[in-house]
Formats: sequence, structure tokens, C-alpha cells
Amino acid sequence: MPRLDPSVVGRSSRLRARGAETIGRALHIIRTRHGSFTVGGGIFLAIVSALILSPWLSPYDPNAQELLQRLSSPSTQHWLGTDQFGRDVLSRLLIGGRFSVTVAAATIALSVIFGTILGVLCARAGGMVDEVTMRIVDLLIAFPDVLVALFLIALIGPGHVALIAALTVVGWTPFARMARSLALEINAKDYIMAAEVLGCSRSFIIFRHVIPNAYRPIAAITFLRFGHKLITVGALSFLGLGVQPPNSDWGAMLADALRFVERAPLLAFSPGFAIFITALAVTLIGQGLEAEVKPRKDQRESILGTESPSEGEETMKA
Amino acid sequence: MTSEAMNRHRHPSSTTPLLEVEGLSIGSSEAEVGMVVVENLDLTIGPGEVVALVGESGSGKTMTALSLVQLLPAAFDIKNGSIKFDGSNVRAMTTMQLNKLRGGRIGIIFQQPQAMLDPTATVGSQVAESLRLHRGLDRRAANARVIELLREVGIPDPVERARGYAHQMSGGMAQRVMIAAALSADPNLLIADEPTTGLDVTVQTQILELLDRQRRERRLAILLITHDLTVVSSLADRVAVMYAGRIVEEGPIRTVLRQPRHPYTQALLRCSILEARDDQTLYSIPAGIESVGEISRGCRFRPRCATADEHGISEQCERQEPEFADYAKDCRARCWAVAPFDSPLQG
Repeated sequence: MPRLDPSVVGRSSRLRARGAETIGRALHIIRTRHGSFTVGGGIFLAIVSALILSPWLSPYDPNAQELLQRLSSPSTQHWLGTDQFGRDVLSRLLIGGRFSVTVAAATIALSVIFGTILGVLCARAGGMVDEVTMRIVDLLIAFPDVLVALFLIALIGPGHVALIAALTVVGWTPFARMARSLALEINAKDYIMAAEVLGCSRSFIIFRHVIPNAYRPIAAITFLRFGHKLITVGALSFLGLGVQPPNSDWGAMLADALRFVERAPLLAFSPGFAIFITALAVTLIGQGLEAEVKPRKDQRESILGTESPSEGEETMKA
Repeated sequence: MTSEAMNRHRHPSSTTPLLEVEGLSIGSSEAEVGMVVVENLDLTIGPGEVVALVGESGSGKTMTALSLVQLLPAAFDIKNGSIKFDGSNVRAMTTMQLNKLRGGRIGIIFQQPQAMLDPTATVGSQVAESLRLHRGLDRRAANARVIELLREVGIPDPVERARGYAHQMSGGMAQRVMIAAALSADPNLLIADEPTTGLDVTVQTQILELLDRQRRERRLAILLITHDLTVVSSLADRVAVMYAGRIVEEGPIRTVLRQPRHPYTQALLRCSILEARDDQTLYSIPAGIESVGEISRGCRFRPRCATADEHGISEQCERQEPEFADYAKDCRARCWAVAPFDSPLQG
């Protein structure tokens, strides 16, 4: 942006300059980002926009039954064929995906927020608080996610709210553990001391300095776990514990299609592929972010002349 | 007349010293370790006065500075003594009161200024933090003030710089930013812990000039912590020399630098570049600083002291730690070889 005195330049041209700056920055991000981030991001963006626009994009009412057209193969009318009630698979895929992706996203968002704040607080507080919380984390990690989630859903009953709640309860632990280790590292930095010296309160320091500095590695595992969550949501829906009929999601569609897999294999393949490609896209984003957080080995070696274990790598494994 | 007395004369309202530390002892917080890093330290700073705390690494300077705002590392705590700032007891303050004191009334800058800036936040937003906290300015007003402050500390193109990040700045620039942040809420005291260490010599001079100007314009008291006597001589009114957790000599800067009486001060001065002109070689004090816990009795500087043998008093030095002896007006040293000064005031 050219250096202009803001008081002299008019508002409109200032806005235009800012707009140009934003576009330039976006292009810069695309160019400088890791390849898998760009690819994964592109696919994920396409999927999300299709899901958001699904009420307008889907060619049929997803619940409209056309019994004469039951289990038809792909045609120009039904691109992905129809199911056992003659409902359009493409429309059901688009509408059903909204549930799958939303449930996974809500779960991951709640897990990140809860886990990060708890982990950072543990790092700050230390002592008993830290000890007890981390043992709870160990305990939850020791049990398989799906098992605990199944148990919780058995307690509160099926439905997508229950699904989100159950998956959040089992999902926050890796974020708490990682946020804690990152915060311990950040708390020892000089700029935290500088903020304390300026009279900043602890909570201000946590939200203003600790979390922004922990953000990148946490963003990386967020996307990596997102893919994992999509598959878990699919699995639980497959077992009939997620969205209840007549609504449907990818997992439930997969379960329905199973009975007809010999007559209409595409019926099972479509939701399975949808879960796969979405999980792949977010995992690619996560891997791209992870690669950016890690200091590149070749760069390090050229500067230091020796091989040294990179801190980023260790943090990622934690 | 000391500058403290002069300031009192100019501002008759401020009859009390700004900072008054008495009998301060800092030690390891684990009782069984029992290590003491600062022992029985007295320090007084008047309004607008610049006091230098000089000593080599490990002498307890930084611990002293951090204890003044109750920010000692977790492994250490204050064992004894009182800290009064502007009449109020710092040790009895609540967290809220301390957060008002830090940054609001006492600003602190450190060495390695680049590491003191958060790499994820813009430089301007970090200077604005203190303004918003202590002056209650909204975002817009704080940002405008930040530009003024950055200009004041001599940063070229402050509008552009405020939007930049720490990694885009040189050490000297970053230290200027830290000074702007520390002074943004108009504190009465600035604690400068090795403010020029690690900077280029030319940049060092600029930073010292900046501090001197700020001190004059704002009537700012400065506690200057350094190991470098050349830094002290250009800025300080008074100097206190620390060795192994104790002040061993203190007095007005002129007297102490011209005629140091404690063997450690003398040695420190010989180490400094000011003294190296004649024979082109730098002096170094033999051996390293003792860990404070190792010396159970006697003078702490005894193992490295040449004067003790010359005066033939080494036996006494080893037996008993010397008390302060006044050797000139306002000057005192903790050494058996220093003859007490016959002050007419003391009778």
C-alpha cells in the first residue's frame, strides 16, 4: 500500500486501496502456503459451499418418494441413482452432509475451545489443578473414543445434540494436552514477562499472548482431528445413534444402503465416498498446517550445520 | 548538593523518597536449600533521580529489580525487608494494586528487547496495551497516542512501524519500542535492566541519550541496572555497587568513579574500557563470583581481593564481614580497609 497521509486521502479511495490489499494478501497466502493445505482447502471449500447451497442445488426434495423409480442406476434424471424408496441419492447426499459436517464441526469447535482453555489454565495454575486435570485426560485417552461416546449416548439417548455432547466429552483431551505443553513453553518466553511487567492481568495475558502464540499448532491438529471426527460421526450414525429419521446423514445413508449393496452398490459407495473425501480434505489442510509449523529440517541444518531434534516435531507428537 | 536534594528543593511537595527499600533479603523459596541471593539491601531513589545498580552477572541485580514489582521467579521469594513506593507498602499490595503499579507507576525495560515483543502481535498493539490498561483509552485514542509515543522515542515512520512486527525491527528499534511501552502510562520510576547490553555501541549511546531526555522531560526516576560502568557514568546521579547479593559501595557517581574505595569497585573500574587506554590490555578480576551460599562468614570479596593482603588485614577479612563505613559525604563502603570519614555531622 502506498504511503499516503490518511487524513488527506478520501474515504472511497482508501477503501479501494484496502480492498486491493486484501486481495493481494489472499493471493500471497495461496502462493506461500503448503501444497496440501491449498489442495485440501480447495476441496473442503467446494464441499462446504455445496452443502450450504444444497437447498438450491439439490435437484429433488430429499424426502420425496418415487416408488416406481426404486433403486435405479445413475441416469440423467438421477445422477447418483435412487434409494429403496426412490429418493434421489444426490439430493439426500447434499442435505445429509449438512448434518454430518455440522455435527463434526460443532464437536471439534467445542473440543478445541474447551480443551485449549483448560490446557492453558493448567499450565498457568500448576500444582493440584494441573495434576488432577491431566490425570483425567490420561483416563479418557485410555478408553477408545467410540466406546465412551456409545456409553454416554446410551445414557442421554440418541440424536444429534447427544452426539455432539458425547463426542465433545471424549474429544477435548488431545487439545488440552497440547495446549498445556505449548503454554508451558510460551509462559517461559520473555514477552510474557514483558506483559506482566506492564501490569497485564493473567487472563489478559492468556487471551492476548498465550493463545495467539499457540494457535498455529493447535489449528493443525484441529483439522487433523476433524477428519477423524467425521468418520466417528459416520460410524455412530451408522449404528443409528445420530440423526433420527426422516432426516438422514452420511452414516445413516450408509447403514440403509447396506441391505441393497448387491443390487445397488453405488448406493453404499456414494455416502462412503462423501465421508472419505471430506475427511481427506480436512486432513490435508491439517497436514499442510502441520508442515508449516514444523521448522523445515533442511533449513535448520543449513543454518546450524548439525542435525538437532526440532521442537516443533516434539510438540506435535505430544 | 546531590540531585535528590536539588529535586526536593524544586518540588517541595515531594519530601518522601519515591522508592525506599530497607533490609531486603531474597532467597530460594524452598526452605531446605536456604540459598540467599540478595541480603540486607537498602536502596533509596528520590523523584527524578537516576540510581545505578552495578555488578557482574549473578550479583543479584535483576532479582532486586524484579522483587520491586513482586515478579520474582517462582523459585525465589522475599525473605525479609520492606519495599515502599511513594509511601505505600508494595509487599502488602493485592494483585489488582500490583497490576496498577506495574506499568502504571513503575515501568521496566530489559535486555534483548526483540524477545520482549510478542511475535504474533503488531508492535503498535503492544505499546497500546499499557495505554488501554492504565489510561483507559479506547482503541482509536490509544492507537493515536502510540504513534505519538513512537515518534517521541525516535522511531522513524511510526505509522508504518506500529503496524509491523517484532521480527522486522533491529535491537535498537525494539528497545525504543520497549521504552515507549514502558513510559506510555507516564510512570514515576523506570527500572532499566541492562538496557543497552547486546546493542551496537552507537545504538547504546542513542538509547542512553533517549533515556536521559525522557528523564529530564518527564522528571522520571530511573533505576539503571548494569554491569557496565561506562553506561553508568553518562546517566546516573548515584551509584550502588553490588557484589554477591550485597551492596559493597555506594555514593554520588562522581566520587565513586573518581576515587572508589572498595577493592571490588576499583577492580570493576579497571576492567572497564575507560581505563584500558594506557597499556592497551584489559584487566580482569581473578576467579569468578562465589555462589552466595558458599561464603558463611567474613567478607564476600575476600577470595578475589588483592587489597586485603596489601593491608595485612586478611585475617580480619576472613573472620568477620565488614559493616558500612562512611568515607566521604554520602559515600560508604563495606570494607575493612576503608577508614571512616570524620563527618562533622556525625560528631
